[in-house]
Amino acid sequence: MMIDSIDKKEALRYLGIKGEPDNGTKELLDICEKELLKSASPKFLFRIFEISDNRTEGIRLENCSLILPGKDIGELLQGCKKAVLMCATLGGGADALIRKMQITDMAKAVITDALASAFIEQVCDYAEGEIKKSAIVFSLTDRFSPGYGDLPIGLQKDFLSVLEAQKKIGLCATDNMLLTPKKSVTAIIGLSEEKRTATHRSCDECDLKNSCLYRKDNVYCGK
Amino acid sequence: MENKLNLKELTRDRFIIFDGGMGTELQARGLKTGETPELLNFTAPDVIKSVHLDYLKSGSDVISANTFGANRYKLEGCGKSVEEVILAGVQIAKTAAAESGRNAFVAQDIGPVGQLLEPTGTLTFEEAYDIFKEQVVAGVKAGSDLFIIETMTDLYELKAALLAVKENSDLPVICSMTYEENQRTFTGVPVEAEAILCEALGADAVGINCSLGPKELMPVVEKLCNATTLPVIVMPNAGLPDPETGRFTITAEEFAIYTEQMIQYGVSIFGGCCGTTPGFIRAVAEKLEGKKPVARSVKKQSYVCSSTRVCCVDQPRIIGERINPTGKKLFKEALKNDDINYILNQAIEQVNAGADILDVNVGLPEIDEKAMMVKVVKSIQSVTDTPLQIDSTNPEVIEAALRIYNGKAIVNSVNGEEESLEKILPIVKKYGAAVVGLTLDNNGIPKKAEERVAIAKRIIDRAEAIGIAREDIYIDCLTLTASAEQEAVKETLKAVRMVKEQYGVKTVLGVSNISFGLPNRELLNHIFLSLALENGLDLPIINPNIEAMTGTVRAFKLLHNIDVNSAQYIATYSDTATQKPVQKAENITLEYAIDNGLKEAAVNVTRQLLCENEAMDIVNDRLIPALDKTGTLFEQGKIFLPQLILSAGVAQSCFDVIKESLSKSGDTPVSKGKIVIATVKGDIHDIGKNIVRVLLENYGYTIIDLGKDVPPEAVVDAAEKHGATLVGLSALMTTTLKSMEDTIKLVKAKLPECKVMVGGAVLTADYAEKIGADYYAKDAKEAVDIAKKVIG
Repeated sequence: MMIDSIDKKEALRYLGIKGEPDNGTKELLDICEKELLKSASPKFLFRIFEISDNRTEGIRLENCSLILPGKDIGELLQGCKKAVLMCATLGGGADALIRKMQITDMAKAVITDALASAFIEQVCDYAEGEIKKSAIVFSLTDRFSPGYGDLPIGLQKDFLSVLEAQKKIGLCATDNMLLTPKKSVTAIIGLSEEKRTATHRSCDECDLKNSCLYRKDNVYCGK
Repeated sequence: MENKLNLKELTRDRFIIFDGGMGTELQARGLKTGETPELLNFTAPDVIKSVHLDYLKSGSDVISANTFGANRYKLEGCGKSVEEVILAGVQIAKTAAAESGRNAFVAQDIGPVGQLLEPTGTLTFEEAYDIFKEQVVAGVKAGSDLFIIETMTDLYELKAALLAVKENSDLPVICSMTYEENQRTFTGVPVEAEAILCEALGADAVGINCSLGPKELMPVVEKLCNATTLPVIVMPNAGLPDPETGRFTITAEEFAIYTEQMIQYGVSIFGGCCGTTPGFIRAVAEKLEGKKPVARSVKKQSYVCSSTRVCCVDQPRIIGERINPTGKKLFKEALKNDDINYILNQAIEQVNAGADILDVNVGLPEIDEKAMMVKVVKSIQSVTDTPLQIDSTNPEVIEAALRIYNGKAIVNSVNGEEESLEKILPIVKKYGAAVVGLTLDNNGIPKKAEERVAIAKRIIDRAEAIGIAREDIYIDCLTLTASAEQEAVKETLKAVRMVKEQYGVKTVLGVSNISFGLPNRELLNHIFLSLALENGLDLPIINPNIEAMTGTVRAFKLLHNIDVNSAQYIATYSDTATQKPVQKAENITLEYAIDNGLKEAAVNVTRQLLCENEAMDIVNDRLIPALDKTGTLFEQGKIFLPQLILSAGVAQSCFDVIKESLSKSGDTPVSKGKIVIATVKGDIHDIGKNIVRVLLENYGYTIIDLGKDVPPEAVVDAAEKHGATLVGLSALMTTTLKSMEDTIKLVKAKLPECKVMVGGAVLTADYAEKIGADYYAKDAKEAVDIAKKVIG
């Protein structure tokens, strides 16, 4: 996978910077981007499953022990014959870089942290491209992650074990179901035979709805 | 085969063949994705046995029991205990071995826990050790013949597992790690580090398995064979999986051909991993038929390492001396305040200046040296991969540090005294460290070189007698101060030459002591350093931040043709001539420097200001108003987080200058009061908390930063110990708000006077109030406002 530049506009948004950044910040963005690209080793993994059952108690996948419970995932996968389980990570090197920067230069640490968040989304987008290639006839739903809406974050451990994520890309969850390395994503994507129109997820299902800075400015975090 | 397995002896004359993949065989027999394979030991023992039997029939000398994931984390909630699963797995394998009629051995298979260890994950080394210990104890009871720890990607986890085996059984143990195409594991471990650690801790064989096919693994295999004297095991996958189907791509015959090619490097134990089947093992067995392992001649070297960096003492290597409180007021202050960041800064600064190894000494009468050493070693290893030298005279401290050290460390030091040798050498041996031997004993430091050499001989003999290799013994002939004992200087140099020539050991010297009590110390230090290097010094302990010292080592390496083509020298110095002139400080005000993120200029201005002003006046009249101004701009949305922090960083370096100057003049460093901050238990996202720390420090508060994933009790203990009147807690995830609430409750119960402020992405003012916090800070600037309100 070759991603040789990071979406700085997205990183600026995470940093809460509105409008054109000052020259100092621009310069730091460039420096940090180089360092992050050198330290990160982005990897992803996905598996496509037939949906065997889409009943109220959860989604069952063909030949897979994982059950995806909740109303929201049911809605997402409505009309989908297949679902993709995917995960992605920037690897421990990105964490280590940010950790070290927090000792030597906090401003760089904050900027690199934002760049890393943008970067992992780019890795996910790239993975989606690969998924599209493997399933030409289908259109893809949004990415939906454990912890969104009523899809329990407690799924994380089993989700990763289905994908053999530790063995294949070095990705694990903590006891509290936080992903490690930190800059990582797990997500479910539905594959539908009909063309689907992209929908904004509602803010109602979001944990951050009361403190969200984007919302105050009437913008969405989703693209 | 004999009944007691001695891998080293056995592999002198013959190959040993392991089995191939278990997981893929089970999936072929109907195991669903995501199911726990170890439960088949109960639900389908015959299936497991049939896999074993197929491998045994194909020629496996050793089969791995179906226990790869049989640890308490992976089995949680499955209804079976670790002991039950291992017992069942080993028994099935033993039954299969007996039925096969072959004299085969059963290896208990130990895979990774399934969670990442600190610092990337939250699992501590000690917890990982306990998890593995439970497996080992169960395996011994179940009658395993040997252990195979495999598919490891983190050297730290491998160490925990290997130590658990060594401390809880006498059985042979094989270790194997998994490498990517960049020839490192996911966590960045090079194969040499695996070899060094396994040899140090007494593994019986070392190797490589999984992730790639035999062809792709060839270069890593070659490197491993050149780096270890232990038998080498290789268990590749059946090629690379097809990206479309996930199926493995090479045939049994191709697999066996590559295997055969590995013989030349000295591999003596073969097997297969994912995608390999009994057919693969049969093909390997046929290829090996009638052949014998190739003996390797491996050059013995003096190695130290961290998990991701190996340092070979085959040329002068710099040991940084700065992490040591002796004679340093600020360092002592940092230790008393648990200010790990101060120490980490010292570590990184030395590494950037050119240190190859860092000496770590945290001995101070007022503190718990053992606990501090463990904390400091772990913390340093989380921000730099430079290997460490554990510097203490207390055997308990040394042992605690070596145990949790990730890699192979140096112990500084033993000396010729009986008590020192008796207590410390066994610890060095157990953890496979290198050791510095000081040439002194009960009678002090001998005057004559010959006498020091005699003590060195005694230390070498004693170390070798308990199995420490000659290449892991480094002798320190001791530098005496030239001002007091001028005639001793050449004795030290002579002794260095003698121990090197007579015993072939590496040599260490603390260099800076030479100039104590004399003017222009730098001059004496670097001249003495070059004399010592010329006399055979390998490991100068110096302050690498002083350019003349590090430069002397670089120049020495160039002039001795060690730095071939002067490459390192040129890389270091070619830029110096073209460097931009430093901005003239006189044109710049402190306020301008802070606004514009000009660290160097700000430091210079502060130094000038200190000549004419009181330190506290600079803080109150200049620094804080400047910071207030950036804070206000931030609040107004005129500048953003990076600029705010940049200014804070500049102010920070001004504070450092002021503190340094105060400590030199004997005044106590400035502090407006103590604040304990922590990211709550269960949460690992701590960058927000760290931003708050920087800003609070800027305003002159002393911050006791407990880090991330901090239990409520630790917060209370720290607040009590340091008499903090304000506690700051952060949490990023909804899932960890509960532990924030628990922490507040405990603080309020134990320390009712103490105020609590909280912050974090998912928090709101309402929620903060609901869980009992006194204050909610929406950002770092607000945290400062709250601190002003509470403390003043």
